[in-house]
Amino acid sequence: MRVAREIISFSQQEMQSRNFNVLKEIGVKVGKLSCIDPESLRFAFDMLKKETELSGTELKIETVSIEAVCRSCGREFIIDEFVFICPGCGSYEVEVRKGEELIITHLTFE
Amino acid sequence: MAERVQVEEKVLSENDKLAAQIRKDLGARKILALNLVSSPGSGKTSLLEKTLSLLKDEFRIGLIAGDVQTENDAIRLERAGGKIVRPIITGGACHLDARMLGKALEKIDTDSLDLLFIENVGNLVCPSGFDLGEDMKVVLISTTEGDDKPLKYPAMFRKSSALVINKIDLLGLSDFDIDKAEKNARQINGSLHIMRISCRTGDNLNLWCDWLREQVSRKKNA
Ligand SMILES: Nc1nc2c(ncn2[C@@H]2O[C@H](COP(=O)(O)OP(=O)(O)O)[C@@H](O)[C@H]2O)c(=O)[nH]1
Ligand SMILES: [Mg+2]
Ligand SMILES: [Zn+2]
Repeated sequence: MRVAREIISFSQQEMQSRNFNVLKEIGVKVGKLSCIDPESLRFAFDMLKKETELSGTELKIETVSIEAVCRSCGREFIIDEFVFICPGCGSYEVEVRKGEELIITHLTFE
Repeated sequence: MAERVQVEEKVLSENDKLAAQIRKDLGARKILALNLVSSPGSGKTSLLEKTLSLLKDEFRIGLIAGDVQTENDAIRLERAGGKIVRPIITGGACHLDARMLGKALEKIDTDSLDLLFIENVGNLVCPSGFDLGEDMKVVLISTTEGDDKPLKYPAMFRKSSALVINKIDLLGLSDFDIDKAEKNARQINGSLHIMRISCRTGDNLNLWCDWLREQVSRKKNA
């Protein structure tokens, strides 16, 4: 809810400052470790947008997988099942490189 | 004609900025700030009550109690001997954010603190996205919950520094497998410091207090 509201208010500000009247699409990147559920985000966005000038705006959500690197052996791997253990050497010293993001990537105006 | 504008804006950047300011302010005063998170009922307030009774003469402790609706937890903490207690009523929001915390801190004389506890709203999803400027998050689960909690809320366990498993007095009364719970938590976060305690019987609260002492002295000497 809060996140959807932030996305809407940021987009409204951008729309105003850039002098556009129609916003077709908002692109967001949602990491699998961001604790945001894409479905709930879309639901909240679609509900909140109705009362704004963004009622026709699409929210394009790109989910980002969790990419990690092992601090012990340097191996890079994708984490699917939330196992933060290196598949190469079994180390728990795993650094997350991608998957925590929650970013507005682009706005498509018309 | 459509025009695509790249923005790359972090959605919660405003919160992150405020949190960074709080971290700086608390850091300058060498106050250890801990953000306690759990599902409702795991025992955050109980743990703080116990902590007050054990450590209130040793450290100057400030407490911020977040709640959706009531000040009940803040009242409990005052009764337990908390001298510096501030409630935050979020008015529906399921987590604290840095703005709310900043406002609550304005009402506290932070020069007179060693240790600041922030009891977050009972929820393991939303609070993990909102940095409050704390030094560490401490996540609690209790033996009356599922031992798969870490797997259901990986972001929170990943972001926490310590895990407190509370209500070990009730072990054996349910299917909760404490070793499995620990294993699940370590799979998410190998560097979690895990403590098994009971706020009811006081079991292992010495481990918790020792851990706090270590963190406070680290912060003082940082
Ligand atoms: N049996 C048992 N009950 C506990 C323990 N710690 C807390 N409780 C009970 O659990 C309930 C919820 O505790 P509370 O501290 O309010 O949880 P919070 O919502 O996380 O702040 C209360 O009824 C407590 O008395 C414990 O170690 N053992
Ligand atoms: Mg409580
Ligand atoms: Zn490795």
